[in-house]
Amino acid sequence: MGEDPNLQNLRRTPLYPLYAQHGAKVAPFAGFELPLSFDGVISEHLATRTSAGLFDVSHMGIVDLVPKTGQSLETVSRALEKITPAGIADLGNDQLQYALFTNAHGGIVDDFIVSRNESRLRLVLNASQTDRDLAYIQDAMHEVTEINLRQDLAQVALQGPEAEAILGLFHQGVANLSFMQSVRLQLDGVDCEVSRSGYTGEDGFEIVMGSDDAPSLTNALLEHDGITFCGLGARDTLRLEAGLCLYGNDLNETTTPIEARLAWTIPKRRREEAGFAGYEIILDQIANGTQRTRVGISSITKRPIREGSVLFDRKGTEVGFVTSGGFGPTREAPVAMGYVDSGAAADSSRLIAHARDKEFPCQIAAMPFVQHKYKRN
Amino acid sequence: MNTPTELRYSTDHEWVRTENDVVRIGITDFAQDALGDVVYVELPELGLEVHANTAFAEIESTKSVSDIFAPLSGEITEVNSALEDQPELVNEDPYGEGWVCVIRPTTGNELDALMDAASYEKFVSEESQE
Repeated sequence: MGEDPNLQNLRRTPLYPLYAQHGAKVAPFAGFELPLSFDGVISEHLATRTSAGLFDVSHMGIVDLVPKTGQSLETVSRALEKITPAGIADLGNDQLQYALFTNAHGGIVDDFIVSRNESRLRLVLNASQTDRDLAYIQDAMHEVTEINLRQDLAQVALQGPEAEAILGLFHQGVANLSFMQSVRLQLDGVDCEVSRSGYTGEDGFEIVMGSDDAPSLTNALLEHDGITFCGLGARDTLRLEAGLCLYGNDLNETTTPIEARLAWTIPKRRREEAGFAGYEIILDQIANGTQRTRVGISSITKRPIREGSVLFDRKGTEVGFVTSGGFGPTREAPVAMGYVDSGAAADSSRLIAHARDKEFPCQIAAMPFVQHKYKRN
Repeated sequence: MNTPTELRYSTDHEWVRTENDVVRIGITDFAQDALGDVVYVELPELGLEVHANTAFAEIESTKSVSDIFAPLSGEITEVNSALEDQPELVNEDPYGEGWVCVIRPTTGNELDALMDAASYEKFVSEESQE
């Protein structure tokens, strides 16, 4: 409860001054001082599912890859494909893609969003992994590309069923966007790059803008009754209900894309061409399966099953562990995800979670726990 | 922060209300605010012997699990089973509908070791400034 002595070393986003104005509880996260909640995690979560929530995601690392002289977006894309199994070279202008960096053992170094326009690729990286990613990118492709960490930018996510209508009041053009497309336009006189994307399972937008313009535009958005300012707590419960992975919890350098059930991020061309970090292991797992797999887990009781709980089958054999777990406000029930032996991963299989010298009955559950509502025009 | 003057308080942020020969306990307004939305309260079994300053149950918010400590030693004689379906009562009414359990103290003098409202408020403000 006391003031964290490390708070002094923490960074702040351009929207930091707004936190106190809106009554935030602030906490350290990935080297930043960020809002954990404003009115409360559950009310913010439900506001996002039923109307719209606004999240400051300026802590995420925005990195632009601009071809060096004599290079092209094509050569930069091919270079990036050495460290990701995603189809970067297939990306069109103003399109976004969810992708993974892999290491030589097929493990996941980070999950990120990549987008492209006519002059550069843009990566949006987890704050906790940005330094690690930059070193990895530098190593793999410094000969072909400039690598620019954009600390002059801010980013907010506006998520929920009312996001389109409210953002449409600022610019009608946003309604034409389809999921994972972006457009450059002005909102309230501010130059923005708006994409139809997010990490809550809801329809919604992510808005990248200059740091100096961010507080006034964010305040203008927050003036709408339909928008609730939300913190990291709600962001976590929303993504967990949506079955989306949190790097550091559900993904790390020892989990592969196939174990994590993210094989869909590896298109056919990349499977055929191979040549990405860890491809030997990853392609073998695509062909022959994995020893363990990521699954959803629901409690039999009303009690949440937490990260770190160890999972046993009904014969008492250890079969896995929980990587994220908490309460799902929309499900009105505990929700969790974790990894189990592939033989124990069948839907509805009963398991016992062990934690804190207690046993929690649970079962494998289909994900997402709440259906995605992405807008695909 | 609401700190009723008729209650006693522990350094683990529990409140104690004396009711004839038993005490009713719960977690303080400060504690419920720090925890955030409460989603589960593990209620102790009736008859359980608890020991002062020792954890005997858990309270869970959306993100974390915290211990509930016994403010004094005794036997659990009543639990608030309303919390099974409405754990949010701890947030909404921490000193009323959100009570946790009733303890029959085994020794009388442990109550004297607890803080009064003014001392608890001072304790919280000092703890927050550390």
